[in-house]
Amino acid sequence: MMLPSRPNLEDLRRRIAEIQRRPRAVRLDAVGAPTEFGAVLTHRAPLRAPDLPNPIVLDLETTGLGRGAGTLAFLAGVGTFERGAIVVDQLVLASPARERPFLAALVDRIRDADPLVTFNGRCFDLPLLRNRLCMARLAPVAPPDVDVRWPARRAYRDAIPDGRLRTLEEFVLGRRRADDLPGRLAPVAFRTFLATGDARPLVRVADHNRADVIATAELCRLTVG
Amino acid sequence: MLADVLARWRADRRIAPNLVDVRELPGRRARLADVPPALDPRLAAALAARGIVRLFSHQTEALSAVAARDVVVATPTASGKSLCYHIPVLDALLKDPGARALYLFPTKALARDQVATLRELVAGLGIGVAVFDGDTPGEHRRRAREARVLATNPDMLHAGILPHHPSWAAFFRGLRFVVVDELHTLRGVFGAGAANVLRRLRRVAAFHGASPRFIATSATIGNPGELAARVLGAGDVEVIGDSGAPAAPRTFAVYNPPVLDSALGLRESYLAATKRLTRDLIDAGVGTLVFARSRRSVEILVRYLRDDLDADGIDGDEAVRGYRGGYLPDRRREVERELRAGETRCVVATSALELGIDVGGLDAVVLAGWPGSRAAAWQRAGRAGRRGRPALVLLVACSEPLDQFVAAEPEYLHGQSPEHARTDPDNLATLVPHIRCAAYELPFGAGETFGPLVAAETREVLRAVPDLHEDGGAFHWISDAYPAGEVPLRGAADENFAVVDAAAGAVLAEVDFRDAARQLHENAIYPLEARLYQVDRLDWNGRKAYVTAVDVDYTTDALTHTRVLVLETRKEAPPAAYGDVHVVERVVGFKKIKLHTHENVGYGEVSLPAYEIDTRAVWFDLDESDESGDGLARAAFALKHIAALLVLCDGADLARAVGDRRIYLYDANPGGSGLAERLFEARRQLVGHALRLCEACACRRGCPACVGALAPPPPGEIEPPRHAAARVLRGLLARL
Repeated sequence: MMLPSRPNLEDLRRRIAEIQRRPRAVRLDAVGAPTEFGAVLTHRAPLRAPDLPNPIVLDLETTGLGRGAGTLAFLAGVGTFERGAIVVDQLVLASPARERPFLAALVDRIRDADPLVTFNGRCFDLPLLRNRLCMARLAPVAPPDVDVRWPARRAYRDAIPDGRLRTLEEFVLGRRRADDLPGRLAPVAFRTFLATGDARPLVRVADHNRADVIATAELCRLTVG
Repeated sequence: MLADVLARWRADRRIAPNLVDVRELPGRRARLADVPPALDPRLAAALAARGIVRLFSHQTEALSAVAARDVVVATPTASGKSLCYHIPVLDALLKDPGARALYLFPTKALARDQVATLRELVAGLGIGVAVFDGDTPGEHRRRAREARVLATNPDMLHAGILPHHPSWAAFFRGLRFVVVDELHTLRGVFGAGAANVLRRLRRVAAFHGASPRFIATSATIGNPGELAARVLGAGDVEVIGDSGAPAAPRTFAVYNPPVLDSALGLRESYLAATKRLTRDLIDAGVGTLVFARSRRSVEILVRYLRDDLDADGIDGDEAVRGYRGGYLPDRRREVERELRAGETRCVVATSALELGIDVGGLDAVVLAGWPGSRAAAWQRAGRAGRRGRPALVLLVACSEPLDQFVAAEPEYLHGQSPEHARTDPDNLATLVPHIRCAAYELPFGAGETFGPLVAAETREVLRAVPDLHEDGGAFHWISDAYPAGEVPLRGAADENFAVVDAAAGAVLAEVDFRDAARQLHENAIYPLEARLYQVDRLDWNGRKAYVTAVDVDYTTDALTHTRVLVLETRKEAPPAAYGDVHVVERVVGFKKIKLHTHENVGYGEVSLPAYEIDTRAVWFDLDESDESGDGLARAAFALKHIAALLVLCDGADLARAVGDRRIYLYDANPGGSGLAERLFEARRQLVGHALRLCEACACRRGCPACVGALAPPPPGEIEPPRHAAARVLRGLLARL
């Protein structure tokens, strides 16, 4: 029997081995408040809210970029605004088997958004969320939404080399991330966590996700309202 | 007029003796039944608007049978099989506005053709019909999800729909019917893959709360019920095989070209004979469809016919058209349209035109060489006869063993179908990749099973495949891989090669990955629409061959070297055994074959990547005393051809190899499709028949009908090849 070999499995094994050699693995419940589905990490940062009725920012970290039934979200960053600050709650999934409560908790947090603010959510995060809700047999949720990617691209087209969030953050917000986890490694981080139980790779994904949520919120205020 | 041509042939002393079998197949009157009163009146009205006020008996049988169980309709070509599924499907769709149906066709061309017909039928019924395949433009893809009837192919269902089923949730929720058209094409490796796709379909449909009824149609094979049960995964299938459709009276003739050299057993070239007889039909104004066995034969026949017509001052390009896979779609559509309109006098086609594509009937169908199976022969013969006019089917035998067998035993054609389509969906090499695909589509719950595997076996497989995470007995897909993209349905069907005009840069044709090394090696002559092109450069990784039109009088024939490695012996009865093998086929060179005379006029060397497959083989070990260099290869030739007859498969599904005092017959389809095991079981018969073939042949040294074409004898030849092969086989039979 020949099974297809996948190059990044080797990569994954190497990473796992590397992590297992290190001391001090960190459990998920040590990095955030434990919940039925995993953990919630909460951070607050001073930030002016967009001038919209009830803006809620959403950014998903997923096991892949495909939009098929096999791609799932394992971390959801939800940004809400209160008194000159953004509060980013990050829902972290401890196992795919607990996806249903994870999604239910996420839906609770975004249901009343007006609007739901994303960067490229029209093409990726929202269809993916629809898929996951279908797979989990949960009712679909469809608050009004704003995808910041297009207004931002229109506003800064002449000033930026490409329309990626990282580029906008650098050229428009004047920030450069140090030691940011490359997005394509997020799936590997989740698999590493599942294989080892060590939550440190997820902490790096969470850092990356939080930066995305905050940058999206700022771009929203600058280009939408 | 057709009758004149037949009369002339019967009176012609050069032709009549070679018509070894001529039968008049009587026409058949229709058996009709009333449209059932329970049918939705809108559908009854739509049928009536198309002139259908009564149904053929098999159509009403199908309608009442699907109420209770899955159904396979196995009636002849042009018997109105499509209505057997359109009627129950449309009736259900009209009565339940949420209901949907999925139609599966083996090819894209067939899906488009059938959808065009269906759209005419449903015009005004408010039922949306869409095609969803690799050619569907992006903006239409989303809309296809709204269709009530979706037409696609197994490949697209496998890689484009099932992995995205949440986007198709409404479609799957309403899925009431799955129609599998041309079920008999789902055999061998393709059948095994498609059967597993249907297992996944049932699983996904169940998730969305649907449990669809399956309706299949098939050519007239010997085991439609068994094949349907295997491929559809259905426990209870009703076979409807008694056609109530009328048939035109047909003359079925077999022409065996005359022996030119009895010493060598050489017959007149069947292509030359086909050309002569087809020319008679063209001259008499008889609309003729010639089926050739390969793309190459199509090209050669088109060229022969056009040259012949041109020589008599008739515009050959106008009168004769080619049609085969590899032509660009526009060109094929044009030929189909001309055929329907009766504009072309003669079309030479491969099986690409065999699968239910609606081109209307023709007055004559010529089969240039045995089409490989009885089902294919009748499928193609079904093209003959329009509107009750008498028609002709003419089989021109070539000098290969299968053809000669049919010429000698025409009863084989006309009696009960002995052909059984085989497929092995439970073959682990096929099953495991589809379990991965299924896991991508939906997590496997604790205790869930798949196909033939019990829960414990399923769990074992899931633990062994990568990309899954086990939690609480359930398995979840956690990787960014897309397994359906890694699993080709039609065996090792890698991407096609494009044949590119080196000067103009235009793509002229496409060639399957498997045939690329054989047909597109550098200096190969590639014939296309009767023009010859030479391959200047083959860009293997880019999958492109750059060609230039040339004016030469030869074609090329690749020389292949094959190595077989036994991986696992499954059954053994020395000196025979069968099991899993790894086969490496490498094209090492080519011969130049002169056009018309078929002389060998030169050689060349080729260096290309090998084609490798894992498959199953039966093999025979020879005694040291049996060994004789050429005898082994010659015996293998005879064995292979008898094997194809015994297991009733297409000659191309089996291949032979020799090595290390061993003869291998292996399944040419990766993973194997059940042929090797049956050959192992029939080993005594196999070797015995091959021995008789060699002993009884009328030739002196050996010929294409027994041990294959021979080079002139070397000086001082002691044992002619035919006798050497017989000696090897006799030795083998004694030890079996």
